[in-house]
Amino acid sequence: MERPAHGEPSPRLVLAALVHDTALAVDGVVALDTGPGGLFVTAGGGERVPGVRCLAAPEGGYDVSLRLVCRLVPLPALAERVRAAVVTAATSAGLNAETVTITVADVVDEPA
Amino acid sequence: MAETTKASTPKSEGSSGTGRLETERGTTSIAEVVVTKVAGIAAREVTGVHRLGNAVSRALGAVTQRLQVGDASTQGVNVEVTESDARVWMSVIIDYGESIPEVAQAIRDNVVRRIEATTGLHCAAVDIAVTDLYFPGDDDEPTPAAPSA
Repeated sequence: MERPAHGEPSPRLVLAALVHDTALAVDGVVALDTGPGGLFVTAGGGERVPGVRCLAAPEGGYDVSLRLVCRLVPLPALAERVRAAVVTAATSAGLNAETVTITVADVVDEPA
Repeated sequence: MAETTKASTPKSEGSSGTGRLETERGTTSIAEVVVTKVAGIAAREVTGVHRLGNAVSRALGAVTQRLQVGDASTQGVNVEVTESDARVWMSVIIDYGESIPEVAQAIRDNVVRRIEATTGLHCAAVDIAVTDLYFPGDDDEPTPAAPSA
């Protein structure tokens, strides 16, 4: 993947926004969590994507981390669904999520 | 004939609960507050449990909730999570007239069940302290006290 020209958003931010929207769309995910101090974000170019961190991986893609707020459902299975969705979405956008680290930061007790 | 079925089980571990679930493409970890909430909600589901906590944690809880840093569902519950195990301590107030051992056992069963189902962690122990009994007339605060029957 080539570096975009000056002025275009970094692929890191594009990926972060994509990961954010993909994770939120998974049934059982209520929100993303910005962590202690609200620092768990991907920021750059005046944008801020909450609850997602994308870091360049040595292999060329990105290491993606997420902090989720979920409903009370079986969480390991939910995390697996989120991971699969993120990897698929990233791949179809021509980006590569090398690893997807998921932290269930909180749960809410609300009906589906 | 030698069995040469090539074991292609990429993720053999993980099915039987680890708080940190390692997969090929990253790990899943579950925050302690999540386990705490699950335990609190599970305990509240049990008939005979009036509420969780003791006088001190209730007073503290009232303050933290007003400041919006606390949450009713974590009050009176402490949790220790290791790689694959969770250990729970909770203090409860039980409705007067209920059998305390029965209610305690029901709490323990439900907490273990919910934690294992929801988080995939193995729940090693649930320690319960009954800190008070509730009977009508005790109402020291106008709360929607009893769980809706």
